[in-house]
Amino acid sequence: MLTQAGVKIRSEYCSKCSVCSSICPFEAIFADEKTGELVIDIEKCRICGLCFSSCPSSAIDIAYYDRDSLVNYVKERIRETGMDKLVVRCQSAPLDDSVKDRLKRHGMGEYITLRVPCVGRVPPDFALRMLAIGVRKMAIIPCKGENCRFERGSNIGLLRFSLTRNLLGQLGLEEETLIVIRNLVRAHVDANRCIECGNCIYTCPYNAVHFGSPGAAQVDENACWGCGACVAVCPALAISLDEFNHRSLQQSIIRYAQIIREMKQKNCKPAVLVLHCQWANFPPLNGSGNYSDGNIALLELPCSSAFDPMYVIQALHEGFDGVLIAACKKGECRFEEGNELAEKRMLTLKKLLAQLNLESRVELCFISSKYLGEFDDNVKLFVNRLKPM
Amino acid sequence: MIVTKEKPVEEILEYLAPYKNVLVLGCDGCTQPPRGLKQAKMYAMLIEMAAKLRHKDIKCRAATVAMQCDNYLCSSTVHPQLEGVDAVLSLACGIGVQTFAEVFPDVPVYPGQDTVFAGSQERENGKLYERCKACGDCLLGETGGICPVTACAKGLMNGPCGGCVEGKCEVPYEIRDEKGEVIKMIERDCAWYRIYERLKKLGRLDLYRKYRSPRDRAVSAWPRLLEGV
Repeated sequence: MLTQAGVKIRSEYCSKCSVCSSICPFEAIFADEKTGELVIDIEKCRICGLCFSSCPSSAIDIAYYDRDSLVNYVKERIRETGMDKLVVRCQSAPLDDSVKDRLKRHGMGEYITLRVPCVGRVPPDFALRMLAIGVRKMAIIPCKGENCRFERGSNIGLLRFSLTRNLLGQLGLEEETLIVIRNLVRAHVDANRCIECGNCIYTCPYNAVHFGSPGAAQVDENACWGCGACVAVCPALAISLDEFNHRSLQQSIIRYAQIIREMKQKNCKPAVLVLHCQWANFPPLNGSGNYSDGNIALLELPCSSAFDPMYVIQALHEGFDGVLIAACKKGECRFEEGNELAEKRMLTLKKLLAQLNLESRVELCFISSKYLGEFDDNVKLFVNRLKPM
Repeated sequence: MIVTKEKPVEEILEYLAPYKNVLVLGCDGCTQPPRGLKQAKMYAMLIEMAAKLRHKDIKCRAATVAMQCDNYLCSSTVHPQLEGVDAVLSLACGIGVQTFAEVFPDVPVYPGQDTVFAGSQERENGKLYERCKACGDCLLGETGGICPVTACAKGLMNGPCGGCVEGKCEVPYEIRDEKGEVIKMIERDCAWYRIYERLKKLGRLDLYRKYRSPRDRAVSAWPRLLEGV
């Protein structure tokens, strides 16, 4: 299957300054020995977008969230809602209660949210353009620096925004115009529900969970990366991740099932739920939802290791004809081999579903967002194989 | 912990065929793998789905108990859940199922698991090993912490026997499928060979040389009862 790369350097615009190659955390950009032109090794690339946002000549094209689509999205939201405050947050930095409280203290009660895979991919001029289109106040919510899924994206993004803030100060704007709050998605244990089985302690790739004395499991806030592997192995539903808690995911499945049941009656196509790792496939700017051309609902997970067999069974129970789980390619997990954990869990789940002859309705695929269309191709392949139940 | 194995869904459906409203009851106790609330919810959905595929109608609810084998906990926490329930599918071990049957004589209860043995878990390879026969007369203190009653195929008190070849037992582990057919054999260490090696390492071969008379089987004559606890 021929696929196109999600990031490209347009050599006609490139001034060969090498900023991109020096900033790339994965050493994927280098100068060609013969021609001296900068090239991207797409195999090494993780599509963080740092090169795109750092290029002074706008010579790098990126398929996701480019400059114009970010600006247009905000413009549209301003027109729709009339709000003039903007929150730019990293995919894995949740807007939890503590962040909301702090935003409120800064006078930000209602705001437009812009969710990007990494704040480091937002170009430096973005803040200025936002002010130009009518945004009065901005908050940036990056991950904690050491937990950045792209090594230094969070720190670089932050550095850029602090430079912008200095600039805004020189222009005579208030300091409050641009604020920064760091946050990171984390696992929380409900001690009342914990049955002390130890599954989370064994599974955690960061050794962040241990037994408190006495009793229930405890998560070490500083060591947790928020991958959600522990959530999926907890037999007592005692662990939840900020944004990805069981209740909201289960409610989403039920809500999508309702929508898709109605659509299915109209077009008779099989209904599919896709649980995808948020790094394997970047969700569209206006949030996840269903594909318009098929009966396909997308649900985001922080990592494929957070895929819980219960969600799959629930989806089939609610009337989906199949469930596809999209994990990152082997060796590209943003955490520690979460995709391999997911693969193991899939085997057990298939064995269970085989008793109902439903094992072919569940599939795991390994994809990467750096190849354009790979996700869609996999979804299409899966859908074409399925017959409605 | 008590090791259990899921029963085939087919068998569970046969049990539940006459009923409409079923409570799937997990157990948060020592069952391994854990059969808590999530497992109960998963089974509730699976059974509803399987019934639907067979054009039957079974409604399932899920709940869990801290320990189903504790008659007080079982009666006090399960009681409010039983309203409108025709039958209960218990995901606890056989002990939990029986305790439930004793506590609620009017509610039909069916096992969702086969209780296999009391064993230990090896997480790395995802294996569970039988470790204790509950013989009621523990001799681990004389055998370097390795139980010959469980680990020796013959349960010998003085070993090894002639079936030990290069430290391996002549009787392998037998892995069976759902129908009970042996699908795989896995080589096993001789228990007495391991006992000898371990006692040697501990410098306690005197314990190995001691002659042990046959086990007093009266202490493990079942059913047993302990009083005054």
